[in-house]
Amino acid sequence: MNERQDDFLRTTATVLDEAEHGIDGATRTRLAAARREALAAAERPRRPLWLLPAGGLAVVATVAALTVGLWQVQPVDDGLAALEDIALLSDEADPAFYADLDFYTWLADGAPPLEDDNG
Amino acid sequence: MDRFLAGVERRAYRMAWIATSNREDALDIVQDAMLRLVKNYAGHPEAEWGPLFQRIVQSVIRDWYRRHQVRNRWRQWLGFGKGVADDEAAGDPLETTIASPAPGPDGRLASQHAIDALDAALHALPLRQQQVFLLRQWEGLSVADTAAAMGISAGSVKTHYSRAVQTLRDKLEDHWP
Repeated sequence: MNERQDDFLRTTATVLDEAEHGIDGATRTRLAAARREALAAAERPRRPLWLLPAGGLAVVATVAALTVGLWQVQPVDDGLAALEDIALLSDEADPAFYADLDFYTWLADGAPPLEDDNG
Repeated sequence: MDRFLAGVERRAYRMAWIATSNREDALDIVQDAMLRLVKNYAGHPEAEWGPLFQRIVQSVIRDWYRRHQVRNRWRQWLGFGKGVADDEAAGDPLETTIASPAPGPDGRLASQHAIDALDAALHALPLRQQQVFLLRQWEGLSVADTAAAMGISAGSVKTHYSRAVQTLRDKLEDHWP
Protein backbone atom coordinates (compact mmCIF):
# COMPACT_ATOMS: atom_id res chain seq x y z
CA MET A 1 0.00 0.00 0.00
CA ASN A 2 2.65 2.50 1.10
CA GLU A 3 4.98 1.35 -1.64
CA ARG A 4 2.26 1.91 -4.24
CA GLN A 5 1.60 5.35 -2.80
CA ASP A 6 5.31 6.19 -2.86
CA ASP A 7 5.50 5.13 -6.51
CA PHE A 8 2.46 7.21 -7.31
CA LEU A 9 3.88 10.27 -5.57
CA ARG A 10 7.24 9.87 -7.31
CA THR A 11 5.44 9.73 -10.62
CA THR A 12 3.48 12.90 -9.88
CA ALA A 13 6.69 14.76 -9.04
CA THR A 14 8.29 13.53 -12.26
CA VAL A 15 5.29 14.57 -14.33
CA LEU A 16 5.25 18.01 -12.68
CA ASP A 17 8.96 18.42 -13.44
CA GLU A 18 8.39 17.45 -17.05
CA ALA A 19 5.59 19.97 -17.34
CA GLU A 20 7.82 22.70 -15.93
CA HIS A 21 10.61 21.88 -18.37
CA GLY A 22 8.12 21.72 -21.21
CA ILE A 23 6.82 25.27 -20.82
CA ASP A 24 6.75 26.73 -24.32
CA GLY A 25 9.08 29.43 -25.54
CA ALA A 26 6.38 32.08 -25.85
CA THR A 27 5.40 31.65 -22.21
CA ARG A 28 9.04 31.71 -21.11
CA THR A 29 9.46 34.97 -22.98
CA ARG A 30 6.37 36.40 -21.27
CA LEU A 31 7.70 35.29 -17.89
CA ALA A 32 11.02 37.00 -18.55
CA ALA A 33 9.16 40.16 -19.57
CA ALA A 34 7.02 39.98 -16.42
CA ARG A 35 10.18 39.66 -14.34
CA ARG A 36 11.78 42.67 -16.00
CA GLU A 37 8.58 44.65 -15.51
CA ALA A 38 8.41 43.70 -11.82
CA LEU A 39 12.02 44.70 -11.28
CA ALA A 40 11.51 47.99 -13.14
CA ALA A 41 8.23 48.79 -11.37
CA ALA A 42 9.87 48.36 -8.00
CA GLU A 43 12.29 51.11 -8.95
CA ARG A 44 9.51 53.58 -9.70
CA PRO A 45 8.30 55.84 -6.87
CA ARG A 46 4.92 54.97 -5.34
CA ARG A 47 1.93 57.13 -6.26
CA PRO A 48 0.57 59.17 -3.38
CA LEU A 49 -2.84 58.12 -2.09
CA TRP A 50 -4.48 61.37 -3.18
CA LEU A 51 -3.59 60.58 -6.77
CA LEU A 52 -5.93 57.57 -6.82
CA PRO A 53 -7.41 57.93 -10.30
CA ALA A 54 -10.89 59.30 -10.71
CA GLY A 55 -11.67 56.31 -12.90
CA GLY A 56 -10.92 54.02 -10.00
CA LEU A 57 -13.25 55.92 -7.71
CA ALA A 58 -15.94 55.78 -10.39
CA VAL A 59 -15.62 51.99 -10.51
CA VAL A 60 -15.94 51.77 -6.73
CA ALA A 61 -19.02 54.01 -6.79
CA THR A 62 -20.62 52.00 -9.60
CA VAL A 63 -20.04 48.69 -7.84
CA ALA A 64 -21.42 50.09 -4.58
CA ALA A 65 -24.55 51.41 -6.33
CA LEU A 66 -25.02 48.09 -8.10
CA THR A 67 -24.70 46.23 -4.81
CA VAL A 68 -27.37 48.33 -3.15
CA GLY A 69 -29.68 47.86 -6.14
CA LEU A 70 -29.19 44.13 -6.26
CA TRP A 71 -29.58 43.86 -2.53
CA GLN A 72 -33.11 45.15 -2.86
CA VAL A 73 -33.91 42.60 -5.56
CA GLN A 74 -32.07 39.63 -4.08
CA PRO A 75 -30.74 40.01 -0.53
CA VAL A 76 -27.30 38.61 0.01
CA ASP A 77 -26.92 35.89 2.66
CA ASP A 78 -24.42 37.85 4.66
CA GLY A 79 -24.16 41.62 4.63
CA LEU A 80 -20.42 41.39 5.01
CA ALA A 81 -20.20 39.28 1.88
CA ALA A 82 -21.46 42.17 -0.24
CA LEU A 83 -18.94 44.52 1.31
CA GLU A 84 -16.19 42.02 0.61
CA ASP A 85 -17.42 41.80 -2.97
CA ILE A 86 -17.06 45.55 -3.31
CA ALA A 87 -13.55 45.42 -1.95
CA LEU A 88 -12.57 42.57 -4.24
CA LEU A 89 -14.14 43.99 -7.38
CA SER A 90 -12.87 47.50 -6.77
CA ASP A 91 -9.45 45.88 -6.52
CA GLU A 92 -9.29 46.40 -10.25
CA ALA A 93 -9.71 50.17 -9.96
CA ASP A 94 -6.06 50.54 -9.02
CA PRO A 95 -4.44 47.13 -8.64
CA ALA A 96 -1.12 48.38 -7.33
CA PHE A 97 -2.68 50.45 -4.58
CA TYR A 98 -5.15 47.85 -3.39
CA ALA A 99 -2.74 44.97 -3.80
CA ASP A 100 -0.29 46.70 -1.50
CA LEU A 101 -3.05 47.43 0.98
CA ASP A 102 -4.04 43.76 1.01
CA PHE A 103 -0.45 42.75 1.42
CA TYR A 104 0.20 45.06 4.35
CA THR A 105 -2.96 43.88 6.04
CA TRP A 106 -1.89 40.31 5.48
CA LEU A 107 1.54 41.02 6.92
CA ALA A 108 0.10 42.89 9.89
CA ASP A 109 -2.18 39.96 10.63
CA GLY A 110 0.72 37.55 10.55
CA ALA A 111 -1.01 35.59 7.76
CA PRO A 112 -3.82 34.18 9.93
CA PRO A 113 -5.38 30.83 9.06
CA LEU A 114 -7.91 31.04 6.22
CA GLU A 115 -9.63 27.71 6.55
CA ASP A 116 -13.01 28.70 5.28
CA ASP A 117 -12.46 29.72 1.69
CA ASN A 118 -12.00 26.34 0.12
CA GLY A 119 -11.02 22.86 1.16
CA MET B 1 17.16 39.30 -7.45
CA ASP B 2 16.87 38.89 -11.22
CA ARG B 3 18.73 35.59 -11.06
CA PHE B 4 16.62 34.36 -8.16
CA LEU B 5 13.36 35.19 -9.94
CA ALA B 6 14.56 33.61 -13.16
CA GLY B 7 15.13 30.41 -11.21
CA VAL B 8 11.68 30.24 -9.64
CA GLU B 9 9.36 31.87 -12.16
CA ARG B 10 8.54 28.78 -14.22
CA ARG B 11 7.55 26.69 -11.23
CA ALA B 12 5.47 29.56 -9.87
CA TYR B 13 3.81 29.86 -13.27
CA ARG B 14 2.94 26.17 -13.29
CA MET B 15 1.37 26.44 -9.83
CA ALA B 16 -0.65 29.45 -10.94
CA TRP B 17 -1.63 27.70 -14.16
CA ILE B 18 -2.88 24.65 -12.26
CA ALA B 19 -4.98 26.92 -10.04
CA THR B 20 -6.39 29.09 -12.82
CA SER B 21 -6.24 27.03 -16.03
CA ASN B 22 -5.65 30.36 -17.72
CA ARG B 23 -2.32 31.50 -19.14
CA GLU B 24 -2.90 35.24 -18.78
CA ASP B 25 -4.16 34.93 -15.22
CA ALA B 26 -1.22 32.69 -14.33
CA LEU B 27 1.25 35.20 -15.81
CA ASP B 28 -0.44 38.03 -13.91
CA ILE B 29 -0.16 36.08 -10.67
CA VAL B 30 3.54 35.43 -11.17
CA GLN B 31 4.25 39.06 -12.08
CA ASP B 32 2.25 40.32 -9.09
CA ALA B 33 4.13 37.96 -6.76
CA MET B 34 7.49 39.01 -8.19
CA LEU B 35 6.57 42.68 -7.80
CA ARG B 36 5.55 42.22 -4.16
CA LEU B 37 8.75 40.35 -3.38
CA VAL B 38 10.96 42.95 -5.04
CA LYS B 39 9.12 45.91 -3.52
CA ASN B 40 8.98 44.60 0.02
CA TYR B 41 11.82 42.16 0.50
CA ALA B 42 14.64 42.96 -1.92
CA GLY B 43 16.68 44.18 1.05
CA HIS B 44 16.26 40.96 2.99
CA PRO B 45 18.96 38.25 2.98
CA GLU B 46 18.81 36.15 -0.17
CA ALA B 47 18.23 32.99 1.87
CA GLU B 48 14.83 34.37 2.89
CA TRP B 49 13.62 35.09 -0.65
CA GLY B 50 12.58 31.51 -1.40
CA PRO B 51 10.18 31.03 1.54
CA LEU B 52 8.90 34.60 1.18
CA PHE B 53 8.22 34.12 -2.53
CA GLN B 54 6.38 30.86 -1.86
CA ARG B 55 4.21 32.57 0.70
CA ILE B 56 3.45 35.48 -1.60
CA VAL B 57 2.63 33.25 -4.59
CA GLN B 58 0.18 31.18 -2.53
CA SER B 59 -1.40 34.35 -1.17
CA VAL B 60 -1.80 35.89 -4.64
CA ILE B 61 -3.33 32.66 -5.94
CA ARG B 62 -5.87 32.69 -3.09
CA ASP B 63 -6.66 36.35 -3.82
CA TRP B 64 -7.23 35.46 -7.47
CA TYR B 65 -9.46 32.57 -6.46
CA ARG B 66 -11.63 34.77 -4.25
CA ARG B 67 -11.99 37.42 -6.95
CA HIS B 68 -12.83 34.72 -9.48
CA GLN B 69 -15.58 33.39 -7.22
CA VAL B 70 -17.00 36.87 -6.68
CA ARG B 71 -17.01 37.62 -10.41
CA ASN B 72 -18.84 34.37 -11.08
CA ARG B 73 -21.42 35.19 -8.42
CA TRP B 74 -22.02 38.64 -9.83
CA ARG B 75 -22.30 37.32 -13.37
CA GLN B 76 -24.94 34.88 -12.21
CA TRP B 77 -26.83 37.60 -10.36
CA LEU B 78 -26.72 39.84 -13.37
CA GLY B 79 -27.87 37.02 -15.57
CA PHE B 80 -25.11 37.07 -18.13
CA GLY B 81 -21.85 35.32 -18.77
CA LYS B 82 -20.76 31.96 -17.52
CA GLY B 83 -20.75 31.16 -13.84
CA VAL B 84 -19.37 28.40 -11.70
CA ALA B 85 -22.56 26.41 -12.10
CA ASP B 86 -22.09 26.47 -15.87
CA ASP B 87 -18.51 25.32 -15.49
CA GLU B 88 -19.66 22.42 -13.38
CA ALA B 89 -22.48 21.60 -15.77
CA ALA B 90 -19.98 21.45 -18.60
CA GLY B 91 -18.52 18.35 -17.01
CA ASP B 92 -15.44 17.32 -15.13
CA PRO B 93 -12.38 18.28 -17.19
CA LEU B 94 -10.58 15.30 -15.73
CA GLU B 95 -13.10 12.93 -17.23
CA THR B 96 -12.51 14.51 -20.61
CA THR B 97 -8.75 14.32 -20.27
CA ILE B 98 -8.65 10.73 -19.13
CA ALA B 99 -11.10 9.79 -21.83
CA SER B 100 -8.82 11.19 -24.53
CA PRO B 101 -7.12 8.74 -26.88
CA ALA B 102 -4.58 6.41 -25.34
CA PRO B 103 -0.96 7.52 -25.79
CA GLY B 104 0.82 6.06 -28.75
CA PRO B 105 4.41 4.91 -29.05
CA ASP B 106 5.58 8.51 -29.05
CA GLY B 107 7.01 9.09 -25.58
CA ARG B 108 6.32 12.80 -25.74
CA LEU B 109 2.66 12.17 -26.39
CA ALA B 110 2.48 9.80 -23.43
CA SER B 111 4.17 12.38 -21.28
CA GLN B 112 1.81 15.14 -22.40
CA HIS B 113 -1.13 12.88 -21.69
CA ALA B 114 0.13 12.34 -18.13
CA ILE B 115 0.71 16.07 -17.68
CA ASP B 116 -2.80 16.91 -18.90
CA ALA B 117 -4.37 14.29 -16.66
CA LEU B 118 -2.44 15.44 -13.59
CA ASP B 119 -3.17 19.10 -14.31
CA ALA B 120 -6.88 18.37 -14.59
CA ALA B 121 -6.92 16.29 -11.42
CA LEU B 122 -5.02 18.93 -9.47
CA HIS B 123 -7.22 21.72 -10.82
CA ALA B 124 -10.30 19.82 -9.67
CA LEU B 125 -9.03 19.68 -6.07
CA PRO B 126 -10.18 22.29 -3.55
CA LEU B 127 -7.66 25.11 -3.67
CA ARG B 128 -6.17 24.41 -0.23
CA GLN B 129 -5.58 20.76 -1.03
CA GLN B 130 -4.06 21.70 -4.35
CA GLN B 131 -1.66 24.20 -2.79
CA VAL B 132 -0.65 21.91 0.07
CA PHE B 133 -0.04 18.99 -2.28
CA LEU B 134 2.16 21.03 -4.62
CA LEU B 135 4.18 22.56 -1.80
CA ARG B 136 4.70 19.24 -0.03
CA GLN B 137 5.13 16.92 -2.95
CA TRP B 138 6.66 19.12 -5.63
CA GLU B 139 8.50 21.82 -3.70
CA GLY B 140 9.48 19.30 -1.06
CA LEU B 141 8.55 21.57 1.83
CA SER B 142 8.17 20.10 5.30
CA VAL B 143 4.82 20.15 7.06
CA ALA B 144 6.02 23.11 9.16
CA ASP B 145 7.31 25.05 6.16
CA THR B 146 4.13 24.37 4.22
CA ALA B 147 2.07 25.57 7.16
CA ALA B 148 4.16 28.76 7.29
CA ALA B 149 3.82 29.34 3.54
CA MET B 150 0.07 28.82 3.67
CA GLY B 151 -0.64 30.55 6.97
CA ILE B 152 -2.44 27.49 8.34
CA SER B 153 -1.74 24.97 11.09
CA ALA B 154 0.43 21.88 10.69
CA GLY B 155 -2.61 19.74 11.42
CA SER B 156 -4.50 21.35 8.56
CA VAL B 157 -1.57 20.74 6.23
CA LYS B 158 -1.61 17.03 7.09
CA THR B 159 -5.35 16.78 6.58
CA HIS B 160 -5.34 18.63 3.24
CA TYR B 161 -2.36 16.62 2.02
CA SER B 162 -3.88 13.30 2.96
CA ARG B 163 -7.16 14.13 1.24
CA ALA B 164 -5.38 15.40 -1.85
CA VAL B 165 -3.26 12.27 -2.16
CA GLN B 166 -6.29 10.02 -1.75
CA THR B 167 -8.31 11.90 -4.36
CA LEU B 168 -5.45 11.98 -6.85
CA ARG B 169 -4.76 8.27 -6.41
CA ASP B 170 -8.41 7.45 -6.89
CA LYS B 171 -8.55 9.48 -10.07
CA LEU B 172 -5.17 8.84 -11.62
CA GLU B 173 -3.46 5.73 -10.34
CA ASP B 174 -5.09 3.38 -12.81
CA HIS B 175 -4.41 5.76 -15.70
CA TRP B 176 -0.71 6.45 -15.31
CA PRO B 177 1.41 5.32 -18.22
